Amino acid sequence: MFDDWLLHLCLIVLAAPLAGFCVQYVWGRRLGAAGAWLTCVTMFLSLACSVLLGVAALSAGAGFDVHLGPWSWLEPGDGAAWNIGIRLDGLTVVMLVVVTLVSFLVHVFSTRYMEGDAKYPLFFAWLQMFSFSMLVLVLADNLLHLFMGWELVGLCSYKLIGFWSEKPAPCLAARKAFITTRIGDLGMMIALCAIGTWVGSFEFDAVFAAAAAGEIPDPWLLIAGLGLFLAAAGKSAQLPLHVWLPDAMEGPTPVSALIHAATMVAAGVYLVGRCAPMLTPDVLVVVATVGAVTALVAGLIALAQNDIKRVLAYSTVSQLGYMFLGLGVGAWHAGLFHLTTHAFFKALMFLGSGSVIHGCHHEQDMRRMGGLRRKMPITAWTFLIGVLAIAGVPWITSGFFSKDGILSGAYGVSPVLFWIGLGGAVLTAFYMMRLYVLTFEGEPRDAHVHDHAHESPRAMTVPLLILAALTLIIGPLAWHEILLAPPTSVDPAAAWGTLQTLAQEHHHAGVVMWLAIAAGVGGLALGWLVFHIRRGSLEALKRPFAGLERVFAEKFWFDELYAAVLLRPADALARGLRRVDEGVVDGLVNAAGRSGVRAGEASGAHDRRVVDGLVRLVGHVCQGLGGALSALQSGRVRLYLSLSVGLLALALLLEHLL
Amino acid sequence: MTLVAALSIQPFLYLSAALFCAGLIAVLSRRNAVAILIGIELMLNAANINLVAFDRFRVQVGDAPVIDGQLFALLVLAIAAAEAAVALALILNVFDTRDRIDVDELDLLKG
Repeated sequence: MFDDWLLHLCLIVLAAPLAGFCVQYVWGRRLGAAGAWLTCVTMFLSLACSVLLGVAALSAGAGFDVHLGPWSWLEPGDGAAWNIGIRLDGLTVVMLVVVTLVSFLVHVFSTRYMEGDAKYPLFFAWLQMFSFSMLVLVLADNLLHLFMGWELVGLCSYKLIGFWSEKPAPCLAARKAFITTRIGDLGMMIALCAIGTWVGSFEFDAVFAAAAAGEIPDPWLLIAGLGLFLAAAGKSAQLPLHVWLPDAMEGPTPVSALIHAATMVAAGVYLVGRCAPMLTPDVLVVVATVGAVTALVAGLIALAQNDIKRVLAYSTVSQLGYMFLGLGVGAWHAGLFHLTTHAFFKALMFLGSGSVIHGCHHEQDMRRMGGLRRKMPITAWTFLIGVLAIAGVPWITSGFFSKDGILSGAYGVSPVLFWIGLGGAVLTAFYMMRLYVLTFEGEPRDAHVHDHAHESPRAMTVPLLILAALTLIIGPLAWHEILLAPPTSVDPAAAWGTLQTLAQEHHHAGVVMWLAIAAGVGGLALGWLVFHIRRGSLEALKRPFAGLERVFAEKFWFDELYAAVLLRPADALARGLRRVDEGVVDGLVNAAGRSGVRAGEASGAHDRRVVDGLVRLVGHVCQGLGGALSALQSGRVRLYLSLSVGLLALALLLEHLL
Repeated sequence: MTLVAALSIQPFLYLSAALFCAGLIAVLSRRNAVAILIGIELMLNAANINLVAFDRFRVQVGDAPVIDGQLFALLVLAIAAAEAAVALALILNVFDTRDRIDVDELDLLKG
């Protein structure tokens, strides 16, 4: 009975956005603004059901773990069954609430942000489709089912990055995003093949049990783990596959907030978190290292960016690195908790930047902003809350709790990774303060932009306020610790002892907490000092670091590296093949054509010379003979008579002689 | 025995051949249509001499009178008369249209 209720709620959660997509895709143009609000309603329905599921999970307590299904999807033979099924546990429910809540707020925000766009209905259709896909991904109870959602969100991301497909940059960015994440998906395919071969079932619990029991032979468990992490790194824009996410900012800003900050890019983190019991210690070392390095490098790049959305994009890459760091060192709860807090404060900041961009008539360069706080106070104050949260200002913001958990988890496992993470934390606070100051504080640097700036309409500011409130209160809420308990179905501690318990995570809280607070507040203070108070002497201050700034501004030449190592050889290969095509294949075809022409010409010449010649020869011979003989027919009777007599005489003579 | 009876047939045939050749030479060598007509008459009469001569010297079989050769000669005379009439009419017509009767000029059927 209880399970039936849960199943119905899950189905409503899934069906509402799918229905919204269908309606909006088919009748969107006719519905207009009403259609947009309809999608908000479907999203709210989804959100309400998710919250009900959350309440159910909370009331069930820490051991909440419900499996619905499985329903047979395909039977590929050999007794294997590819199923679809729903798994409801703490992690799922938290993800459901986060996804539907952010998605709902982004829908509401977009009703005004996208106003006047030629493809307004289509935008909401794809937002709905994305929400549906993401929910499919989150609700999956096996890897194959998850993979469907995984690819669907990739498709939606592609469609929405390239939403303004009439401009070249979004199209290129969409393509880049799709292809780069496809490289990661290759890892997913390899992992799926390995698991399908050795386990025969894709269901999480079966896979975990097989992994713990050692049923997957040695290199394949490692390969499957690394493959899953490669997929996660592609989706979550980790080094070295991070290059697509900054370019994805070409998409509309609500899309950046929903897909490229809060939900889809977190899917990689979710995947690693979900599959944590089957990841061997070697894989986790890779996860943690990649995460920490990404957190630092992306933070450095963010220092030198001037586009408001690009700073946020690199900040997202960096924060995702933190999540992987947390998962990698075994701070499972902290890593996924950071996912949820980050989803809210990063969505807040992206929507805030959207509000700024909307208010400044699509100006995105921070160097032309400044002093906007007086013009758009709600945006500025909510944005400041996001900045404080991402910097980890203690006790009042959610970011503090999650980041502190990650750092203290790392401290217990690897001091090196801890210090890298702490360095990243200073950087995060510093460049976020730079972003805030350049945009909202100081004197206006572009009179034109400043004069036309205005606060956004209520449909845009209310989501900002809600997200700001969530950013502030979500940290202290204890239910995270209940829901986001490390998976209990299989005891990973027995297998490898990689996952830390909550108590272990908080073991070092004292020292680490103060270091984290110092890093966050110190970074913020330094940023305020450098970019606001000492604004005048900024250039002099920056001069010794000009070389470094160049490196950061050029993003460590990752794009150039890929262009040199991958794109140019591929281009050269393509050009070479084209030359082969043009030279050899076309040459053969042309030679065949030419030989045909030659043969035709030869045949024609033969026809003209030999055949026509013979015909003419016959004619000439006849003409010649006729001409010769016509001389005989002179018309003179005497000649005829002479010939007759002569020939008669000759005949008689011959007769006589013979 | 008469003079004729004393002769053999050869002198007649020589005469006839000479006369025929004279006529033939006249027909072949002269361009005047009247002269050609005269040549033709000569040839016809050469034939007549032959006919009459053969009639005279043929071997008698039985006692029935045979005058085939003489009849042929008479027929040739009649035909020669008709031929002369036709030929002279033609020559007059040619002369009417051309004022000359040179047969070498009459080559309208030249090929």
